[in-house]
Amino acid sequence: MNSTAGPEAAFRRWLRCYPRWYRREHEDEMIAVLVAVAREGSQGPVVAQCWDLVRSAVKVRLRPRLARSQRSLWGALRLVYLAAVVQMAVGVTVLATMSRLHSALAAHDAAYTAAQWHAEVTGVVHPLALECGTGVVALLVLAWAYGRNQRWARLSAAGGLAGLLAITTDSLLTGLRHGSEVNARADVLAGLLLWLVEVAGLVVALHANRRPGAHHAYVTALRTGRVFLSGSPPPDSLLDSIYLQSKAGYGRAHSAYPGMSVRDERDDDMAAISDVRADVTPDEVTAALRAGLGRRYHVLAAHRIDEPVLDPRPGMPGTIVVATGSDRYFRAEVTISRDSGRTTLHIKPGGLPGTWPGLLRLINRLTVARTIRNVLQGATSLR
Amino acid sequence: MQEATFLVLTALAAGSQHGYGILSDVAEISGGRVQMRAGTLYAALDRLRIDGLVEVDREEVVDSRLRRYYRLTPRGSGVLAGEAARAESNAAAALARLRRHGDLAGGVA
Repeated sequence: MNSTAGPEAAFRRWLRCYPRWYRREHEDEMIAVLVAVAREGSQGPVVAQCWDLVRSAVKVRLRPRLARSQRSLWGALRLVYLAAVVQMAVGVTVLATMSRLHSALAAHDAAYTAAQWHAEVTGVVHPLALECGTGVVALLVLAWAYGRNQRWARLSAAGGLAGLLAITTDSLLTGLRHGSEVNARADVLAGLLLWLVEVAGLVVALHANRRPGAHHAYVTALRTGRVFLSGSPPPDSLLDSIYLQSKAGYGRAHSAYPGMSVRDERDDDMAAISDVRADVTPDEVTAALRAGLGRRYHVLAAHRIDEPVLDPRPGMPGTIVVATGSDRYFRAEVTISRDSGRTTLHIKPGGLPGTWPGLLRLINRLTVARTIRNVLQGATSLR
Repeated sequence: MQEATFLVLTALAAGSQHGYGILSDVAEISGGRVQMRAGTLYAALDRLRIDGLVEVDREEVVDSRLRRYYRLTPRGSGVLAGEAARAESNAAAALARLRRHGDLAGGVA
């Protein structure tokens, strides 16, 4: 009927305000509800429904997608918002006190000229205000990205903050060096405050890097079905992160839950090589590694690393350990997995994450694991 | 907890429902006072899913329209029970004081 075709087209048009992933998940069911309500006519004109869609779409786009129980993440997020407010206050103060700054400078130095003031405004005041504005934008982007785990946005916000921090540090040091001749004490204090805020923002941005990354791996595991199950249920915080991350995959994430814990071997997967033959054997991979890596490395076939990591253990047919040194110090692990007809080689650097041995893992990731990846990518015998 | 959220959880407390069912139920529970619109409903469901209070139960296609049924998670039931108890005790306290105040005023007059 025409009477329903009209509103449905309008609803579909306004639903475009929502993010694409949200529409993929909800558009059809929302259209069903909207059309049913419009047909019934109990909720007033279609326009009101559409306006409600726009408002809700803005909420979905902007609101942090963190579970209420993720208290520490919420705390960090509030800190970022607070930093944005402080930054904005500093900028506004700088602009609002311009005339006072002018009269202070004129009182300090009787020969103070209009040209000097002009130079002060264009050289110091305006850049500072601009810097504050940029800082506010960077912090808001950071908060948004933090609330929904957008890695690229968080990293670019962190990059922007690092740049701002460099500028602020520079102007702060200049101000301190010149002392009270050039800068009022309030200016230096404001600069110091700005500096602290930027440091806090940067710390949050970099701190956020770890956990969501690991969470993302869990969810990727859920999405691809590569989930390792064991006895006890996972902590709530982990489940929340699964809800948070999986968006469309929510139902599956939850149905995978009852009575099981979720562990993803790809948490520290630095590289997965999937363009190998489907029937590639562990022996072939071992041979390719021995040929490609050279004599410095020990390639231990059918071993695996147990946690804690320093002790390779025999008995895992699909796993190969690469070690160095006379005591066969574990450096990396290659796992062969078969998933619905595809074979994938996973390379995992050695070293515990988190505490100081995390540094070892980083070193292994950058050295041995990378070499292994190059060897496996170049091995024609596996193709 | 916002009233809309509370009402959506209450609508799901009796069993799983699809979007339109929740909307009509919310109107009924609130005695027609709250006319929730679809956008608001799905924003609330989205938030409740992030918090792990609500989950997808099943999907059906009726008259070539998708119906997705939602249900409370055990955690959602717990949160709703806690919130209802809190609201009940607050309301009881308010009524008790009003009654006492009313008696007092009656006595003086």
